[in-house]
Amino acid sequence: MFDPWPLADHPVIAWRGSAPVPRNQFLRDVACAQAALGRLGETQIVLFDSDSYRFAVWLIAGWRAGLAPVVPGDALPTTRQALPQAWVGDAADAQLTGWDEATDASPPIPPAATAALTIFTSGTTGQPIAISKTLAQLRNEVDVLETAFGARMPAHARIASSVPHQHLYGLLFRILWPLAAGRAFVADTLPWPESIWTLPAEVPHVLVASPAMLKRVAALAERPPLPASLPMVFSSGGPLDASANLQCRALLRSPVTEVYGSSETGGIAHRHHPDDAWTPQPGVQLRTDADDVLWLHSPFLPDDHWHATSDRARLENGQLQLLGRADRIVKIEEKRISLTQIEALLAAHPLVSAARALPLHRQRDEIAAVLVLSAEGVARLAEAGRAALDKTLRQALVGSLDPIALPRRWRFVAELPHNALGKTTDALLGALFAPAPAMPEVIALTRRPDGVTATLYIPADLVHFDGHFAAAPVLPGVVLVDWAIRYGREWLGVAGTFAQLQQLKFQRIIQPGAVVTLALDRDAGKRQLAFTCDAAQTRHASGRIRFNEVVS
Amino acid sequence: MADLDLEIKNLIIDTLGLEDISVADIDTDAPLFGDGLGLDSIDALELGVALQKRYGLSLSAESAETRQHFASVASLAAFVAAARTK
Repeated sequence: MFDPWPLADHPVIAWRGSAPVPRNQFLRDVACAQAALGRLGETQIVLFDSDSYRFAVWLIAGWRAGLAPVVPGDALPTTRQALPQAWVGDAADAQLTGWDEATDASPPIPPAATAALTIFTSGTTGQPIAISKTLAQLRNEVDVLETAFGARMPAHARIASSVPHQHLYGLLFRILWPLAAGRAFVADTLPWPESIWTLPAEVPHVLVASPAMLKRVAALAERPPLPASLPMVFSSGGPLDASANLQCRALLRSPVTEVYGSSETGGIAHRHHPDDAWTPQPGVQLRTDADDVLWLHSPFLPDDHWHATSDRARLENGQLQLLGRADRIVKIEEKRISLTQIEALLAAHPLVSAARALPLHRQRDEIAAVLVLSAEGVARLAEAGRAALDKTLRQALVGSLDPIALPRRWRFVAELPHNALGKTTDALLGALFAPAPAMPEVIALTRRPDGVTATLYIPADLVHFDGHFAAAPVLPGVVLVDWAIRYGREWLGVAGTFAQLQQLKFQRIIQPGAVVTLALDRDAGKRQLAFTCDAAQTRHASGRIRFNEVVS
Repeated sequence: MADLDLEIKNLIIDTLGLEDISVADIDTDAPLFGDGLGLDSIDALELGVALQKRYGLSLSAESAETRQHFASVASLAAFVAAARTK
């Protein structure tokens, strides 16, 4: 009989909190979900569920019902608009959010379409791209993962994850592989670096993580020893820098296994130590061309052809050295511009610690740059001002770039924006350039116990300057207080509704283009947030904000 | 003359949508292109269009001459003062 995703013979399928989901429970849930899908009577469904267990039930049930679900990366309004098919899972507003009604399982139907599902890239450059995968492609991936890594993972290890299953990496590693290989998966997503410390000590866990999460694990202050043992930690979805990798290795007492690949290509190679070359996944063939671009031939691809990747590499004795992305070329006014080159030039500047360049299509096509400034860069900005800093950076590029490739707009950030998969996408970067912003640019951020100090740049086109006042714009004091509250909630977890302001003082006006230091200190017991806003040797404002007790 | 310099600086900022730059940041005698303001050929095109519209100039097709006019705010102001029809 056709079985879309044969399960291993394991007694516990998943863990929801501290409760195991036994195999027979899973099979019952799948049968109910399959019946619910039959009643729905749709030939196309969109599957989104925030809970990995429910997602797994809907996915297997969908396959048994002959459906090939579309799996979106999120359930945002624009995504819902773009996907008008029937939604299934906890994002659906129909009654089809559960599968309560018990029913007899009907025999599975082989899928009508050749593809088993459609999944989306996380959209590193521009819009997410839809990718179809057949059952055979998914099965090949999972079989290869077990061949490559299975021996390192005890059968009773549970799979815990910080990455969403709505993208390929999470879908394979936290759901499909465990189901096929007979390991239980943890249904809840680990939301914070600290969550890893709440994993139970009595059973080993395999951690499926993003570079974004591991970077934050590495940045954690002193942690007690980790209670759980982690026989394996996976990192995929983007590069993890070597120092964060090694810090995680020490903190988590486990090697961090990086898997190189993409939603389009599936897994390509892996390594267990950042100093190692990459070992190709079993069954994946690699070659490079004259421009060092890496090509692959793989059982995870839809066809039997060789495909070019967007990375450059060197192959030696079957091992892979990655040399960086192949040039990202954009065309500005008919000229070919290498974003890679602009980024490399900027990153080499002593005032800069990280740089991304992107094309903007506004009044004209132009290049923009988003930078994380070095400590020296932050100091220079505070001292010399924005226009002078822009000019210094532009002049560092003048000799090396065509004038058209010179960035015309700059944004400075404390860290590059990234999505849940740890990717810095052009969409996230582009959003920083929206006109008339309501918030300042956060140039640098330092955390203290119960406090934070941020360096803010107040852009001249800030929406709050509009009409306040036309001839001599001044930042309204209420806006500064609002920022303190917002950042207090975002960075310090201040809760409760606003109660009152105390000792509020506005000593000096803040004008467009100012660079100020905002210090926030939380006093949880008193439900108070103290703020000061300073610029070199002068105080702009200070005060205390009181919050009401949170009623739960 | 100083008024015209200021007017042209404002025209440059508005036409090209320059960010984080005020009239005070533009040196009247500094080169507009290359390592001064760092403007490019598309900017020259847009600026030329804006100047023709605003002052009723006719720009010469002779590029060396045009390049001279566009060297700095000061040279642009001199050219505008001499050639404007409105």
